[in-house]
Amino acid sequence: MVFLQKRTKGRPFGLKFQKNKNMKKILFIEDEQGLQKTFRDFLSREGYKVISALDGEIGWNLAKREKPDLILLDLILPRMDGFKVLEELKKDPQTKEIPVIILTNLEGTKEVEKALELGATTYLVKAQYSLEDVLEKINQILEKDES
Amino acid sequence: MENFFKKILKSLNPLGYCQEWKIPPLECPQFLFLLMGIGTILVILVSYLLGNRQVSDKKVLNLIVLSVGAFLFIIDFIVLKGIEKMAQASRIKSEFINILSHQIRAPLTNLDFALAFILSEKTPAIQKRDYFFLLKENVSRMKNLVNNLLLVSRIEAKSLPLREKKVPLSEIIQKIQKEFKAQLDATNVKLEIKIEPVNLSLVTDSFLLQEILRNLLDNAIRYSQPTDSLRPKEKENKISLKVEERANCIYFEIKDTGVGIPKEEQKYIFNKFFRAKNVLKYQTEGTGLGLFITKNLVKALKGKIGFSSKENKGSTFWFKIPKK
Repeated sequence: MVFLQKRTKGRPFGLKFQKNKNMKKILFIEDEQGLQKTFRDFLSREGYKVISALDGEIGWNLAKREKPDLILLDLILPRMDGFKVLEELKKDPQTKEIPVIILTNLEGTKEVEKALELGATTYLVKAQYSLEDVLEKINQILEKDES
Repeated sequence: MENFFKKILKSLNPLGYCQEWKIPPLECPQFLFLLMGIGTILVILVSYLLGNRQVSDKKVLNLIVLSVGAFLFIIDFIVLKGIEKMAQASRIKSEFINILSHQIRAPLTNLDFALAFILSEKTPAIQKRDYFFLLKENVSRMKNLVNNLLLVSRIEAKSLPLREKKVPLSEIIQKIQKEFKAQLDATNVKLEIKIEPVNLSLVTDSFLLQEILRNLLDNAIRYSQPTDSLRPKEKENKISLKVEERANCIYFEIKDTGVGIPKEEQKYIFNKFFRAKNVLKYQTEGTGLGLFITKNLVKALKGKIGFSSKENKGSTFWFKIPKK
């Protein structure tokens, strides 16, 4: 239990539990089941709760329902591709504040620009980042949100 | 200012592009076009000048020059078309390499991250075990991709080796069924097999016949009706594989209850790289090579292949291999 003075926002002054990492939800939208398993095992070990979506449509619906703290989004997806999902997420007031990390193997500048323009927070090319690197980016973004 | 002139000279220089790519002038298309154009104009001029001396009648002279000109332009046009085709083939090759690199990259990425996790000190041994299956699966994926690539390459070079022997059909079909068991279970698809008579055998190339069956079965599973939380299961996904002895041949049939092939796309289904629009939406993996390879393999075995399909109902692919 930690006394925290920031973020009391109209609540009665008093104890406020620090949100520990276990509460942070990450939605992983990716059609490769192998990657889903690896990232789920890895990220939950680091204290995150991971929700999986194997295609764009399911991912979008889960985002609206679960309101995750962060979304890891692949671009090549069945049923609704990553760009469309990103667009819809940023249009909806309920989901537009959720930071989105694009995690894909597409590395053209056109794709990167398009994703960043649509509102993605970061663009990571899978082949160039390790598990640790991705974790670092996630931590950076989620810690920034806390402050 | 100097740079500006340099740029203009560079773009006007037909040899510039080829010099960059170390192509000798006589193989350089741009340079050859220039030569062709100059040559055509020269020949027209020369034939006019010569004709002027030999032929007195202006009308005949003009006719001769015009026909020479027309003839040359026709040749130029044919050559241009030929070069255009070559350029197109080259573009298709580049696209091929691009598509395949991405298809191979996906399992490689899976392997990469999975291995990182296995090698991590924090991962307990019991968790590592599952990952070895992941590794195996992705290695298989890459093996299949590369095998398909090699098959396409051999088909194009018309050098498919044929090793014919007596093939016990029940045995190889059971072997293939085992290979696909995990995939069938994972996608909840039932496979029914019927071989008449049970001890049927065929003299043919065993490896190629297995490849044909694998390709058709893989498609049937891959394009079965998707079911998930958004689309509750309405009916079961079933594949029936039938093998029948007929008078002159053995008849194989694979019937599925999958997404089917839309009518307008049916005529392209055996083309290289073709993937129907209704499956592009569902399956991001897939090179469009499967049926192209299958058709050519059936041809190599001197057989015939065909199909019938209805969108959202399913497809029936059949092929016949002649008996010896």
